[in-house]
Amino acid sequence: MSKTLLVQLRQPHVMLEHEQDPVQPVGKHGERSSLVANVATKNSAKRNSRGRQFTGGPFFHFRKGKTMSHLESGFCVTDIEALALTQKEQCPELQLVRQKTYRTWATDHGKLVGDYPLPGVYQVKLMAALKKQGVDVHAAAKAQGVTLPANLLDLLKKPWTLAEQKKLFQDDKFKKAYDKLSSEVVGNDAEFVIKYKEGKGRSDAYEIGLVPHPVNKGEYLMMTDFYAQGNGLLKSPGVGQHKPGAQGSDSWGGELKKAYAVKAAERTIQKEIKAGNSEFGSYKKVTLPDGRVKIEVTPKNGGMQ
Amino acid sequence: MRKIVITIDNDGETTVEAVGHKGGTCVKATQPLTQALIGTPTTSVKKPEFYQGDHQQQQKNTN
Repeated sequence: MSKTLLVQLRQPHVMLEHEQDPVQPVGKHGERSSLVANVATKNSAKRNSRGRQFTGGPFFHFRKGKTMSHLESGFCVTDIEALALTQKEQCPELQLVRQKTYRTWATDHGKLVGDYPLPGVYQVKLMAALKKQGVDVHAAAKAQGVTLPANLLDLLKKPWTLAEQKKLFQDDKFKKAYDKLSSEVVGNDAEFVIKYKEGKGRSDAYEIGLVPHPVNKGEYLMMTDFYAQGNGLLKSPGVGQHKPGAQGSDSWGGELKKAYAVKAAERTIQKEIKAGNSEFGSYKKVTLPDGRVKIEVTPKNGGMQ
Repeated sequence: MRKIVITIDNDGETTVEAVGHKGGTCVKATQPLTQALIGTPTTSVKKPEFYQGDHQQQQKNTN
């Protein structure tokens, strides 16, 4: 039996300062709200897919001997137009379309294989569904020996493990909600989809879903099923294949993701320059020997304090 | 000298760094980029430099 794995390309940021009930997401995505109201919305986030991101999110760094203010890291899609342009430029076999469903093992077979923990965003949605039913999820989880984060949105950046999931599923409420989520939500909650053009690729190729973040409006998670390189999708030029990482920190779609991030950064900078933001005077972009792209933005006054 | 440095790794992981900023200007300076590339911020731990400008202002007020 093949293993199915839904992963996200970005570790979404979660509001940690105060509890925000994921049952009541805010945002502009009507269908997302509808899904939440019905049972749970869906977003895919694979727990270990990008392990290092789970410790990420915005954070501040100290650098001895150097004056700097802060540093933040992560990835998300906020500029669909930039993604569409990127895809057109470097993924000739693919297309980005407005579509709600994205093909995965789950959509083909009606359920997830279950050999990986549920992606973080779907964990949040699972919790939302249970809370909607009036279940005290923290108490129920604790009864199975699993401690859930006080803010359930923290599951986005640190999802429960497969071992914890197996414990949770000893409670029938969790298992039933999982089965329902697996069959009804996973793969059916995208707003945009990247997929093969007609006549390209395998007929059973999986697809990349751009799934709205359950809370942060205008942000999308890139989700796919990377089993067998997404049944060939990830082998398509310009996408970037799945790479197993240490301790499950798998990655996929690196080429597309990197190119998108560069384009989105440049578009943002150009927009700020045009808007007259004094912090954005000019910029230069260089590709480092290891392939990373570095962009330096200088303020209008040259950056002098 | 102030500047913003964006580094995008080969998996698309993006780092936005405010260099040479003092006080809350760092957040304001990088906000358009962090919001576009990284997303809505979560909790943050402020560095001493973050408070530097405000602290100096407070000292002035109390003198």
